[in-house]
Amino acid sequence: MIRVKNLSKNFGPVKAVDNISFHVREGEILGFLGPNGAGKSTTMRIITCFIPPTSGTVSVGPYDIFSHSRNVRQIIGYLPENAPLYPEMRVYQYLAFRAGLKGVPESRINERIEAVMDMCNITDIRNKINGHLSKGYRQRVGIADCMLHEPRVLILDEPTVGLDPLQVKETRKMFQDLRQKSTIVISTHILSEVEMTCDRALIINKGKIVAEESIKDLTEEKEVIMAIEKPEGSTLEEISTAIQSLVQVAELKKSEEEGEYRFEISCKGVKDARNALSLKAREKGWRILELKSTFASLEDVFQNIIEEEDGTDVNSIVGT
Amino acid sequence: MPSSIRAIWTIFAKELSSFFTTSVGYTVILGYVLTTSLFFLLILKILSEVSSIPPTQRPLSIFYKDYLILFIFMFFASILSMRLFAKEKETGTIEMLLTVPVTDWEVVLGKYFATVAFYAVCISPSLINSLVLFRPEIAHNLMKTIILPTLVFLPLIIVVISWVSPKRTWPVLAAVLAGIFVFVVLLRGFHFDRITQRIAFIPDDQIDSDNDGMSDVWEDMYGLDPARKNAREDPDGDGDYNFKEFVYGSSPVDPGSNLTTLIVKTVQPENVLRKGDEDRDKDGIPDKYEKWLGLSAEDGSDALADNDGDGDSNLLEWRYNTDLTDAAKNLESKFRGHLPIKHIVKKDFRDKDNDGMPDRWEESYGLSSSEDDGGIDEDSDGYSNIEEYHYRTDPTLSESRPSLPESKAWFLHIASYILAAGLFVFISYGYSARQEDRISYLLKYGGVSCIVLTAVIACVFIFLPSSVKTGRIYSLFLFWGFVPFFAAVTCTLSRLALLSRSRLNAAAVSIFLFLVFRLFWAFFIAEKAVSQPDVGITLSGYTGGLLVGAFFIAVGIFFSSLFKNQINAAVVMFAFLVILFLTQFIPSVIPSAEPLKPILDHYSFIRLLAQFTDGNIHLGNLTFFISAIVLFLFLTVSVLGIRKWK
Repeated sequence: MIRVKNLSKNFGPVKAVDNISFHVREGEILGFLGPNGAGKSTTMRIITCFIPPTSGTVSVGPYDIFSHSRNVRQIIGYLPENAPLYPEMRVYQYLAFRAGLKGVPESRINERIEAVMDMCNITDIRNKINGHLSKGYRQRVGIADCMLHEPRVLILDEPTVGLDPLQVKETRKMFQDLRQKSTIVISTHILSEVEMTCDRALIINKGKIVAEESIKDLTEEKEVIMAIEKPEGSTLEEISTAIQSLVQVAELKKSEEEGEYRFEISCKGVKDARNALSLKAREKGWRILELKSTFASLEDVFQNIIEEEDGTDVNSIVGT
Repeated sequence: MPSSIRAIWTIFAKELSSFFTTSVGYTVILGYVLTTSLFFLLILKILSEVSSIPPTQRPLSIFYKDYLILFIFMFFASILSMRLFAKEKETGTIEMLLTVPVTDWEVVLGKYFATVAFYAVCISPSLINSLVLFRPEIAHNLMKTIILPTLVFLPLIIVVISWVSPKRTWPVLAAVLAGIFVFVVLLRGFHFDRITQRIAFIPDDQIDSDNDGMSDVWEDMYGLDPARKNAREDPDGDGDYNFKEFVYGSSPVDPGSNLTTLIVKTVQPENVLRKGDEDRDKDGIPDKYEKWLGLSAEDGSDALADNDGDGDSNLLEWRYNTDLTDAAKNLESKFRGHLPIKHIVKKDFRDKDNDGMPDRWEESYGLSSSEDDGGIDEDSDGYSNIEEYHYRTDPTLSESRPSLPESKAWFLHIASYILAAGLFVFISYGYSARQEDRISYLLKYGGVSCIVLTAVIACVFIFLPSSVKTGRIYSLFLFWGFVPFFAAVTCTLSRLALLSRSRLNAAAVSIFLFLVFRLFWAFFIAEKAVSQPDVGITLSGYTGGLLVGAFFIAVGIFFSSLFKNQINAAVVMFAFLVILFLTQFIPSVIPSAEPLKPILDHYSFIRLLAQFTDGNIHLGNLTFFISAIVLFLFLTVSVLGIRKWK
């Protein structure tokens, strides 16, 4: 649906986007992930024809952003960062204005506005003045505006900023419903959001794509934590050798605490190592204190990738 | 292409309505109406000092030829257009606007037309002003309709806005303005009438009910019949008929006062000598001319002598430039009875003390012609001298007073005090109470009482005997009937607005109604009082004003697209316009730029405007403006196309 090829954008000497290429399939939800200033918004602005690229091309559906800019804008619904609204207009009036601009037929404007207001739960604030709305409501008006003309592509720059947890949940559900009709690109720096909403994540840093994988692939590595009561006669080494023979271990961290051995086992290729471990434990007579499996979180992945890239500590960024 | 027309229309409608949903629109309209009204008063004062508007001088051209009006246009155009793109960039909404399927041209045109339309709304109320000028004889009546509504309605409207606007700054402004207004009213009583009469004094004296060219006042003064055409009669038998005597200011009933005596009387040594001329013998002819004329610079008696014996003194012949030595050439042969009016002092309407009453009228009743005694009530009958002058009654006889005793003072004063008291109550509540129920309570009963008041006034007017329904009474009732009527409309609208919760829209509607009423009303009075004004020339003048404004706005929209901050944009665009305006003075400062002078002169705003105000719409001028506008719109679209901002 969206094809980005060798896209670059320079602001003077600053390379905001540096030769990136990717494509988004129809019906997919793509998460655009990266620290602040990574070039997410710039890429989105180029796709929506707000600013031209320095080099490279983008096509949305059958249309190219240079030669068919108007058609591109016709099939895209775009929510810029911070959801800017005209502060003096009322919600309904604003949506009607936007519908007019987007070429929604006169006879359908009312129906469309009611539909999007219903989807975004803003029907009861229809006569409020935009400028008086809270951040969450403004964000929702912005999202409603995006969907007015039933676009085939939705491009949302940080859509869940300012929403409370309940609203975030509703919004995610809305995206899942929308995927029947639309392709969605979401940018965010909140990792859990990508994890929960998107099919695929594109991690971008300093204008370059540093990872492009499906969420499943990104979080495929699993870790099993096992803690057992210190068995008599067996040393830590012996037990870890036993574990290593049992499953294919990528990495094994072991530690000894008062009265217990603790292992953190990263497995390779195995779906779940817990079953094998518990059988072994019964056989050997280990007393299991704790046995749990954890997914490597996207946070860790993101952190690893970005650290690999520039060798800096990104904890501060991820923490947001 | 219908789709692009729809896009332009959508943006147009949104922009136009946002002038009224933000404070920009109100501020600009009020500011513009106030400035032009004040400016207009100045012009009217200038005009009232000359006896009539010279036929070559179009009223609008007096208005437009002044540089100040151009600066006012520039200022308001800058204020109006500064926000167009700069504000969108400030708030980030530009990103929303430019990522919808509309082209840059559609965006620019929609915004541009909306601003020009709003600008047209701003300048249209001043049509009334030019209307006044076309017919100076109703200047007085219309002055009332301009000064009073401005003073009465402005605070009223701001009070209403203060209720309906969410901001707290308006109530303060409203309270201050209304406070000043009430203070003035209570201090002075409602004597606007007198003030306006003084400013527009001379036109009032040109009321001529029999249409014979001589004003009623003048005919009254000499006991002629003001209702009969008697311009060609010569009751005193001195050889000059009445109209001639009216024009030159001699008496139509005194055979000793005719044109000849008047001229001889007027052209006296002490009258003709100009400042700075050296005249040793004090005979009225400056020394430098005496030798050339063959007279003596030391002998004071030769000026009144008649060297060639043709009946005109040397002084007179010198003054009117005829031959002193040729008996065949005298004043009679030169002018054949048509003496140039500018040389003759119009004695009848001279008003030395500037109190609104002519000296001759004052002298005939024994009033002082050298001090301002218009407000004094000489005979203690309840009517001041000036009021008696306007009703043609005797200011020294208490039995002789205006024939409609109750109509004016009673009505005016009671109504003004009711209005003032009402304003006080409304303002204090509007300021102190923010509770909607209390406001809607006030609006409800305020509206009802205003409607009752309107009805009472209408009834009084209907049952008045038709003999007293003169033009003056007519306009008086129209005005005082309109005040409560308008207040009622405003109250009702505001209340509806409170109920429907779209308050700002209602405020916009009431302001519009105010403007429309004002316009309509003035036309109505003009229709009643006089013959048709010259519509063609007015429209041509306004086309010029509109085109200049449209050009300024095109420049404004360009600068607005360059800047991210509204104030920066406004300052730079105003500076640019001023510099553009100043280019026409380049040749007079830099001599080497002299060859440019014809071009710069040709395209100076003042000259272009003057052509329009004279009633000439040249294709060349139109093309110039339109291509300049298109150029700046094109530049704006190019700036948007570059989109360098982040």
